[in-house]
Amino acid sequence: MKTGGGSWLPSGLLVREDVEPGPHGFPPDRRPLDLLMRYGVVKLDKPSGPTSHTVTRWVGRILGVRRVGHCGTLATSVGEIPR
Amino acid sequence: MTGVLPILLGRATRLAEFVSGESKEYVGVLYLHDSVDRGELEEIASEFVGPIYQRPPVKSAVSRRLRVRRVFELEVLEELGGQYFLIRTVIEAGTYVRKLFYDIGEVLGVGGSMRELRRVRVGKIGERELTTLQELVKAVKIWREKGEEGSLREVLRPVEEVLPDMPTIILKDTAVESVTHGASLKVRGVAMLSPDVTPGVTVLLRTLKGEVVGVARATMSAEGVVEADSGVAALPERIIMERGIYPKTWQGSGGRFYNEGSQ
Repeated sequence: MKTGGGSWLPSGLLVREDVEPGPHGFPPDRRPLDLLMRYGVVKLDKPSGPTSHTVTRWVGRILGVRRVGHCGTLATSVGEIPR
Repeated sequence: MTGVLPILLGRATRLAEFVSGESKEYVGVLYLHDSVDRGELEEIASEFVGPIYQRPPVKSAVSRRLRVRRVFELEVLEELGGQYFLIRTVIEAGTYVRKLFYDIGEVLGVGGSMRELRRVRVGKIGERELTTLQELVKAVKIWREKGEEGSLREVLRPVEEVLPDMPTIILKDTAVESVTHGASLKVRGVAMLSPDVTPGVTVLLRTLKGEVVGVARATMSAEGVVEADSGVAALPERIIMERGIYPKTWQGSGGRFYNEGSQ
């Protein structure tokens, strides 16, 4: 079936109703920048030194995004946090 | 410590626990306090593969109960000389790598410690896709000063890229907006779904274009949803899509679908 969203669909889906996507929304790769700022991700290569928390705040400041959060803390050499 | 650190922006922060995933991969340097040959280290290292007991260290974010964590892989990549060894390991979330290295040293009888650590994978995210802070700063500068989006779009990625494979329900366009308002997802709002949807499981809600709407708890099996004429397929738990992107398809002030003022 055509989905208009490209090849993102997982295989083996069960179809309840065969419908085409309408004009609303954006496929992830064509999402406008302002929306990416509001729910995107930066896959950062954490530098050594600052904590994950500090680096996360820096990224927020660089992008001008207030709400930021990281997944899975990479501890500094001092504190120990589960990974 | 360096390496993979996924940073979620705005509403995507609500999905942090799903991005973290089950396992993480690390490459680190183990320093042994006396000389041990590689073969002996490898033999001991192999004993740490599987479930291990760990007590969280004194300085830790969680309660210090003894707990079981799984080590999926542990191998000696290279003998670096001077009692330093390069180790690669794949561990369950919540395992302390520093403690693991320390314990290997203890079992060897010479003592050991972790000297460097780099996280090379978190869930789906590998080292190759990473952005440095410098690259991010540069991309933002080009965008602000020249209005060119290209380089910023390379580093600021859709959250869909970092979500693991999980049971999925694909919504019809007409159902999206009501879910962003907190309404339950009715079976009539479902276009497709993966066969692994069963009552009680956490499912990803996506649009026909592939956008993640949020995460919900399924209330029916996949077959049930396909066959039923009415009923609730899933209850939204964390919605990240903003309101107003998809059209509102219901009448009135909205009171039929959600409590006004609950926003």
